[in-house]
Amino acid sequence: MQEKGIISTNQFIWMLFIIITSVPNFLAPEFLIMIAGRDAWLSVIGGWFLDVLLALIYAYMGIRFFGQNFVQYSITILGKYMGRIVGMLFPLFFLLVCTLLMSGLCQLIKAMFLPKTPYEIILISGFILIGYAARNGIEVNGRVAEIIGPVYLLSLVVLSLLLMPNVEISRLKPQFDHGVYPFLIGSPFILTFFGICIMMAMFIPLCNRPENGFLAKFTAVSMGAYMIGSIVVLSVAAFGFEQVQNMLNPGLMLSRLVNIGHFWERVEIIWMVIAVGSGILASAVMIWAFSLGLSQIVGLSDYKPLVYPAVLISVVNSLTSFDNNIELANFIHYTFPVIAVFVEAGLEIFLFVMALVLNKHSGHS
Amino acid sequence: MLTFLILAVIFIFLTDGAALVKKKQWRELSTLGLLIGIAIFLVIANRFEIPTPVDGLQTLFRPVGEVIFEPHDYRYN
Repeated sequence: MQEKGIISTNQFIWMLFIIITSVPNFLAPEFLIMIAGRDAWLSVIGGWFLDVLLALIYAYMGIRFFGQNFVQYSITILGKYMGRIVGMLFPLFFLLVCTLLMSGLCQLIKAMFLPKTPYEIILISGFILIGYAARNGIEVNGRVAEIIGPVYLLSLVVLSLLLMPNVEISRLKPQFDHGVYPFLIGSPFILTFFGICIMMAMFIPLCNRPENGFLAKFTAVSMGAYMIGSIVVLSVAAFGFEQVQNMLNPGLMLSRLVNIGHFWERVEIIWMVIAVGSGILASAVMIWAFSLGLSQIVGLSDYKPLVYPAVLISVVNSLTSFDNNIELANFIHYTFPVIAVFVEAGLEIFLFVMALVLNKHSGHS
Repeated sequence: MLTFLILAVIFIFLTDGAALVKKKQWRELSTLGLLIGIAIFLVIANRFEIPTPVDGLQTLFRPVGEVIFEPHDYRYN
């Protein structure tokens, strides 16, 4: 049995929102500010715009190949062999993102909250939850996203309000102080993190209203960009961009600043609980997508037996690939964006062009 | 790491592998075996310092990333 779950448009939006927000929140803001400086928030807007353009292609392909995700329509467009090779790159990309997200998340937890706990224990604990969640299928994750998503969004709104006394907007000025180059490079950089919501191509065939694919993506990416943009603006306005680029996680540092009358303080653990929940859900969806994609490529009757081995690969990859935080940071800063642009934009545009040239479609009206 | 890997493989075989053998779903079983094999390879590669796929990605894509996403120098001249 392949995935038989059906998700509503609402669940589609919240799952995408959690993916769009969790991955950049844990991995990207400090690097974005390093690249774009004070103009980082403008880069977030630029990244949002580019991502919406990309969403048009994904939504169009979802309708053209009705009932198929990108792994399946790769095979429809390019044939049995080439299609499988190209289609396999999407699930592999999701596995890589899951590895990076969990490595970043667990290194943050170790550095900030559990310095004496071995990294392996934190990582494996997280992955046990991920395996359990991914095995329960997309419907269960969709329902969880409907609960966690609004809480995550609301937590940022509350955080923004509580941080108002610490914020100095003059730190965001002047804009384009070093020309437009930092902004122009920052936009595609953050796009590569927003672009992980190419996951929409896995959701569209399972959505009860596939024609809402673009609307769902637009809503999710707009909320996600608002959230990441807010974190960038608040952290630059609170700390100054020179300091933020050396921080481990600006969102967490912002929550540490909250102090209302020496009574309401140390709220970072609340923020972290919500953010970790979202991170685990996002990783679970990645593992689900990898298992489902691989099972479709190999032609299996069920994807669930692949979930635990996928989790095992991701754990081992996290433990063996990055010996320390610096190696992970360098990979996220320099290597990941290039891979992401290649997969998120390059491959999908290639499939889009090939579908037009070869006049391929799923045959459904 | 090795202990964890052995425990994980036993767990996976007990939860999924045995059921697949019983149902004679050989293709599913071989895919599962392949994924476990990849995990074992990664552990061995780490032990003997053989380059892993992530190292390959770094070698291939990092030079490009370093050119494009180099942090801007914000110091004033």
